[in-house]
Amino acid sequence: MNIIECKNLTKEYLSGENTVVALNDVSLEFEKGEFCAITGPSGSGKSTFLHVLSSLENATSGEVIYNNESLKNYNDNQLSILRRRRFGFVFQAYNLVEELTGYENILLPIMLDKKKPDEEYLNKIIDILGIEDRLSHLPSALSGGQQQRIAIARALANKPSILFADEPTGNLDGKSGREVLSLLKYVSKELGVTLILVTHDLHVAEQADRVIRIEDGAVVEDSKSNQ
Amino acid sequence: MIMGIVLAMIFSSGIPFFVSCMQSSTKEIQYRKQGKQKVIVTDAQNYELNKAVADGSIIGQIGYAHVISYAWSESEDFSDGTMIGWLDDRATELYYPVVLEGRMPEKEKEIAIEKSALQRMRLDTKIGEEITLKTLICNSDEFLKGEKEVTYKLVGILHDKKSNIELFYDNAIEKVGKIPAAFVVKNSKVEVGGKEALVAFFNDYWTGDTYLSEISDENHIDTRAVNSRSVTDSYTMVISNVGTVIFLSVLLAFISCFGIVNVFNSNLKERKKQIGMLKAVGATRKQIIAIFGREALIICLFTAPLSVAVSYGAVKLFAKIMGENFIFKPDFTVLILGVVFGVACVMLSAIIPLFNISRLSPMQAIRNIEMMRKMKNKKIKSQTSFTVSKHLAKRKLIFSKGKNIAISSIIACSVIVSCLSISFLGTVIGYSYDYHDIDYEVRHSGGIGSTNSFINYLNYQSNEFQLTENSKHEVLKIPQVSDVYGDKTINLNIVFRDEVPEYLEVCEYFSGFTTSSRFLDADEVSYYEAPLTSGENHTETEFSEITEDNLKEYMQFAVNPDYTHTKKVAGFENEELINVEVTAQSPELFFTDEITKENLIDGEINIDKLNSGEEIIIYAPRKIGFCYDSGGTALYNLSEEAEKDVDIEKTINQELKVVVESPFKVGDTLKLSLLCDDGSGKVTREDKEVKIGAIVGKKSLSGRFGIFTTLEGLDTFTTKFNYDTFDIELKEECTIEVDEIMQAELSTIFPGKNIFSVFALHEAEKQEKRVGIISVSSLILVFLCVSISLINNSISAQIRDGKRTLGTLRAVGASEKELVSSYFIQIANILLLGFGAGSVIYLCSYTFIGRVLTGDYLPITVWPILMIFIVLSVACYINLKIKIKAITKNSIVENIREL
Repeated sequence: MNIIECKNLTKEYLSGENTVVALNDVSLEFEKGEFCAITGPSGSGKSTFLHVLSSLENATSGEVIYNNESLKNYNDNQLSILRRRRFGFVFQAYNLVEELTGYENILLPIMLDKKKPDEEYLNKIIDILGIEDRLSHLPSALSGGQQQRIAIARALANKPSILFADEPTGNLDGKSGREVLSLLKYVSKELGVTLILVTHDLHVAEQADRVIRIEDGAVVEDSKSNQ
Repeated sequence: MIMGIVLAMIFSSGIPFFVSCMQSSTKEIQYRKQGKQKVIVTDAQNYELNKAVADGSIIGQIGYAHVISYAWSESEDFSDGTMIGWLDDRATELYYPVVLEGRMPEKEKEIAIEKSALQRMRLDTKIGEEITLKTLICNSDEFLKGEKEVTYKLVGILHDKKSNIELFYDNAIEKVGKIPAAFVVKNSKVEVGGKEALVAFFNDYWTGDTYLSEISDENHIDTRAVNSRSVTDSYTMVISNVGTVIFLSVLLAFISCFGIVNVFNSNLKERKKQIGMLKAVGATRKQIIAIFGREALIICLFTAPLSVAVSYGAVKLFAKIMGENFIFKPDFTVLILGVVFGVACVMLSAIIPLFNISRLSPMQAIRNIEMMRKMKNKKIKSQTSFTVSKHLAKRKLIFSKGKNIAISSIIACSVIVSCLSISFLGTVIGYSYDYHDIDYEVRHSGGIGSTNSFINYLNYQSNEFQLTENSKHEVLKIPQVSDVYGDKTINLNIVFRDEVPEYLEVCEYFSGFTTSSRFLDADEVSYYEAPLTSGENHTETEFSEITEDNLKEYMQFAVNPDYTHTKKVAGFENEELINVEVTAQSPELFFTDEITKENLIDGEINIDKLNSGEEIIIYAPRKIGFCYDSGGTALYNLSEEAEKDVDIEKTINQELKVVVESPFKVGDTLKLSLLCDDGSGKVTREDKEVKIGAIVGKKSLSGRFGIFTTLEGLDTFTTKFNYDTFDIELKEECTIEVDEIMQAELSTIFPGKNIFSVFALHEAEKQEKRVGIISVSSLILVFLCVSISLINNSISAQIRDGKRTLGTLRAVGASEKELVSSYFIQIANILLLGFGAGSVIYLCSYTFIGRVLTGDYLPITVWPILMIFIVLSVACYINLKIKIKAITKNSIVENIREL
């Protein structure tokens, strides 16, 4: 069963007088609970694909369908609600709010939704991520790996359906990177969350259920279709 | 940053324009009213002035008015006429005739006349119409015999000058008649047999005046020079506004510099990373200052035309709103000065933030070390539940503590300045002179009895411009006048065979033992050098505390020598005299001032009995008294009402209190004695007994005693007195035109007398209020603009600085509303801090100033605080919404991406 799909996605940028095609007619489907890695060389359009798919950016043409409903029909407010309730994001640069502590950063989507946190669930995530003793710290007092763990916890805090991760290990050393990746894999399996991850690291991609390769804005290889 | 620089340039370049406006307005008013000359010499044909100029005795320019005749209207008096002449080029430049309507004469038999001269001649001729005037032909400083009728075509009406010179030049009245107020075409000749008279105009006061004094002393002649006073009443209004404008200018300069520092600070902070990178690749401090300083200079120069145009327009508009007295005609130099001043202000103010930022180390600039340090040092407690917008705003405020003090301070200043100026403006606007139904008042300025108050000196009233019955009829002849009410004030003496009632002694004491009292205070005694008639053993200090016991003794301390003299010459050696001011009025005016039903204590006002001299009205409160404060130094007036006042009672020294009840009753008879000196030195005495018909003074809070009667009542004395004031009522409501006619007519009837126009006063009041409103509005506007601009800079800097956080918040599901709300809470905090501090300081200072200035607490005005708060809040909210909207228009990825 598809949780999210895209049809004929095209994204063009204006660079001076030239138009750069970042995504060229991409159509893909993602199943619930799937762990999918999107790979490709630098500037191939993999991050742009993730951004458009996750509604962080609008497509020039084409559409994204979530739970059989096109995101074109969503207004700004509805998209905000969708992002806080159904999607989780993990960025390469962590993107924690500097003024909030680790725990407050984790609570952010729940508080935006004006909900009461499910403490049992949160404790479970915190326990899995091993960040119990870093929760009261401000991001500036945390290492890269710790910040990324907080970011993952924040992305999972509202029990999302899909977790989008853009080069989550890109800023981390090998050991921290491996830890973060195994955590992502573990929690997605444990919580039944669809994980769509962008990476240019083939070792990371190897651990995914499905690997999609993008080059020059187009899908050149999809391990699912190969099967 | 561009907007900030433009605003700062507008404010700073406006300063030279303001100063120029004030300077040109002041000069122009003087030139219009009096001309550019400093000295005027009439009958100049009698002196060798050109020679004096040639040999350097007189420096500067000299111009001549060539006077050919004297003209007056057929229907009016000879004395209402004017000299006719023409001005040579120099004189035209110096005398500076200003055409109000039409033009100056260009052909023969054309004439241009000053406005008031036309009115004085009662000519309602319009431009282009012909006027026939009777003329006397000039023959040097005399006239040829025989009148001649001449018809002119009126081509121009000129701004008044001759009448102003009459008012504002020393010794002008006698000589100003020779100055022409009507002008014909240049080079007009005098009729055959006559010889033109010359009026010379100099522009150098000192040499002109010295030369004329010298020839005057040498030849024992009157040089007939009129010398200008340096400053005239006519433009004191402008002068008084100079202070306001200087204050505004300094304020503008301060605000623009403050604004520029703020703009540069925000801008450079945004570009900290860029500066850090430049320093990392080897840029020196000098180079950093040069790079960013040059950028500021280029922006300044590019925006200069726009900024100067806006400030030019603003000052022009200001001058227009302020009325015709304000002229703004800047020359090219002033415009250049405006640009230079604006650029200099911006560059000088930009130095401070540039200097500061250039001192940062590269890493300090690249990484926000300052912020990181603050974050590390702050102990933050994690919250388990929070409203995102509020919580985030709170945290941001904690980490940016102290950074927004400047904004809060300027908001506080805005509140203080705006509220104080509105409050005081409110009291000014609320106040209005009330002159009942009177339109004009003419006052006799001489006064009665200038030396001895017990005697009326009639010779002081003998000069030709008295307020007489005849002049009253003259005024009544003016078509616009409906009625004239006069009042007379004289000094009368109440004669007491026995002791003077203590009540009147207290009145004398309370009035401070002036020269109209029987006794003098210590200062007056030394002034008179009079021997102490009794009590030689007393010293002044013995009477520093007056009680009922020592009052009598004090009374004997120093007798007024005038009193002793009067008693002797008038034959009152065995009686006592109490000097009283008697006011005689038309009965119509009785009920508008003190003699009202509400103020009546006893009896009734019987006009017939007052007219017949049988009765008088006395002004005598039931109780009067005095007391000292608890320190025994300040003297209080203690009337019946004041005695009831609990606050006063608390503050006074009860032991040093004297309260006396009035002994006067309706029906009592008073013996009055009128003493007059007709100038011969001989004092005539006229005694009369009158009954008290009514007593007034119910609402009085003063220890004054006086007598009122009607004009007819006063005329029952054989000596007749002139009026002291005329109150003139018009048939219809006064207008500018009517006021000009009335002023001209009354000046003709009462030359040199003080003519008071209620219309002119109200116009001046209106102008004053308008100036006040404009000044206060400009001030508030400037402060509001500066506050909004500072807040805007701060918002822009914060939003640009926190763009990534905004993107992150959007990515995790924050809506636009929540983002706006988070920033607005921060701004509201800054606003509230500023408003809180400003309101407290305003309330304290207003109460304090009110207490100091008026001795009472003034009512507090709260609406300005609310108004400014609402305006600032709304402006900030809208500004914020626009800025966040602009941010959310971009994709989240664009927000998040590192710059």
